[in-house]
Amino acid sequence: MLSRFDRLEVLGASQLDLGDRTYAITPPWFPLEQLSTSIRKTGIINPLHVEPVNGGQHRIICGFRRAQAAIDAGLEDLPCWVRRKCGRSDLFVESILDNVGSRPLHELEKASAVAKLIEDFGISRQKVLEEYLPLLGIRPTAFHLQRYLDIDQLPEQLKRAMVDSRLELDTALVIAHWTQAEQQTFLGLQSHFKLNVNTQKKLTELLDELRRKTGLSATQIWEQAIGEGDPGSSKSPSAALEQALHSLLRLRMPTLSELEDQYRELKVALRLPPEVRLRPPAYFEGDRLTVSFSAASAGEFREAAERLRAAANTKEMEEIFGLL
Amino acid sequence: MKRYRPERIFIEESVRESPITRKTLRELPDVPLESIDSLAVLLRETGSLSTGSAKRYLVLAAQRGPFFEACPGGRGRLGIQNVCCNYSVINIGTNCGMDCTYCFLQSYLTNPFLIIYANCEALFGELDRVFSANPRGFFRVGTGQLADSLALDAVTGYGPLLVEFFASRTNAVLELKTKTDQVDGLLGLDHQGKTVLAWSLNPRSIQKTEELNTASIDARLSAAFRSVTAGYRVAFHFDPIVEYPGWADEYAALVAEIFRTVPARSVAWISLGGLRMTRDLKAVMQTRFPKSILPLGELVPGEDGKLRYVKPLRVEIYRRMVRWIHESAGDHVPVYLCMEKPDVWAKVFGCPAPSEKELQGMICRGL
Repeated sequence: MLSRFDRLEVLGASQLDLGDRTYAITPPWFPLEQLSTSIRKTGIINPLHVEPVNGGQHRIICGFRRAQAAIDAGLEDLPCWVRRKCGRSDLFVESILDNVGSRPLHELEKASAVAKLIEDFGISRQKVLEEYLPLLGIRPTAFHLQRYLDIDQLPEQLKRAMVDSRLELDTALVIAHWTQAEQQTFLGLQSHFKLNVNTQKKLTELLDELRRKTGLSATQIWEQAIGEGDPGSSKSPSAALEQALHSLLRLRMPTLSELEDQYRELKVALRLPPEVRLRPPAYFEGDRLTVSFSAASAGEFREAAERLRAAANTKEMEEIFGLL
Repeated sequence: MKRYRPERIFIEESVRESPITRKTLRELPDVPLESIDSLAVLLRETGSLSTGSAKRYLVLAAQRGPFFEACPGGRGRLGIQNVCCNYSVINIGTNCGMDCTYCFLQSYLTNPFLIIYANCEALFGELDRVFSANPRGFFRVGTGQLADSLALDAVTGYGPLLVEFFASRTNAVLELKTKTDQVDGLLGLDHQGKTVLAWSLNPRSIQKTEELNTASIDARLSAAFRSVTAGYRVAFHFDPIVEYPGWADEYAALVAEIFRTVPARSVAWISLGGLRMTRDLKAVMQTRFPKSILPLGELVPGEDGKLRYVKPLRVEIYRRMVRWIHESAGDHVPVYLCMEKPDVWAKVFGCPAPSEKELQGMICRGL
């Protein structure tokens, strides 16, 4: 909170130490275009908060992005509140409040705030959990506290991908345990196939569980899966992805895949017309086969019923029930 | 195994004079104590503790709901009907100091404290009413649903009180199910054959990696031997059975080892249950135990939403387990499946699943 000891001053850009990121929670590579455009038009409306350090330099408390955007826009003088006689942790909390009050924070910024409160400013985990997680819009549980500390530890390439190419947070947390080369493979897939949220989740889960199960790298597993399709074919990216996901699923679930193959073969052998549909229970859990058919006339109905009766008396039908 | 020692004990005023509380305080004289008005207040104040850290706090509280209830296993989730063995549970506590990677309590309990319901007079009054109200019925009752039956017994002394209570019952039998070896406090009791001491078992490789802070398999089998020598009947639960490279050899060897340790006629029953977990539990396991191999099994969601090994795999596992048990014990020992539907039973045993009454009769035939 500002006090009578604080002064509003106009400082030259060279008086600000942009490299001192003690109080920063936003990575320096976050995009600034919108803010730069705004500052070019209107200048800095809300002064920065800074504290004096040795040699006439000043450390930024609030306004890292504003300062950088102003300098990018060619501004030489910046309005600043020069803060005095404040504890460091109080100033950091102020900077968090300033950010929370002015815009929605990115998960990476929240994570940085949580980690700095504990690691740099010595605030106890319990206090962070009870007082600061709710302030940041995070559920105050030990699980969530740890989750945000883990997010802060993500490698920079994954953090950048979360901002630049829509890498999902949960995906990043899983592949953070992979080698850098494996992470590169995944980021390459993300960029090539433009994976949506669900596909990212599915692909990450399959690759992660297979690499743990087989001891192979995610890259090797992916290459094996993509190689199982026809390498010479000129499939569309989405068809190639679908084929690879199918191959991965077969590797992950061999017994289930075999069961599905057997069922498919037996169903074909029944030679039922397309308007008669058989459906086994999901994942073959259960013992009932669902049959449905449609007919536009009594004749069609009789025809379908007769084909079903004929199918019911085949050994293939017995074998299908044997699979359930 | 290391005896459980909490960092702090919280005591609800209402159970301060209970025999369970008095025994606990005698056994743990150096542990800091704190009085609480009620468990609910404590939970409000400390709701943010993680599963692992909260286990270090022991709470002695009063059970305000019923102690006794039907085992929910037969009912299954989402109303799915599993084959029911007519088991009943009494909830004398929740959670335990051991840390099995697959423990469903991790995602089931709404609080992670280790709680003992110390109002045992209320428990025995309730059981008396339940058993007396149905004198022709037969009750097979266990305390191991939401806690290990014996993990805290050396501290609380609940076991001897239960064994002595059941000794005088004509229509009930108690099962104390554990992963510990802490039976010595029960061996000298006059149990009248109304208590069965039971162990949950897995091969040593699984015990070492997935059943953290539990007694070794050697220690469990040795405890089973001491129990049989003291005249108890014993039971074994292969639950959860885990499928992994080499599983068959290790489970076959373990089955044979059981019957080299105790005679088949002393084994009251054996249950089999494949690994199963909710999706929530899988997520918790992957966070708390990232090296666990269990979530890597070929698990698919069943009709109740729980993940289990794909059906042909678990039918094969059960069939082989049943065969190995019969090879070692003949057909002296009743074997049943836990939380499986009738179609799986039919495939495993080659005959239709029994009714609730038939199954209970089969399981209890030697009692």
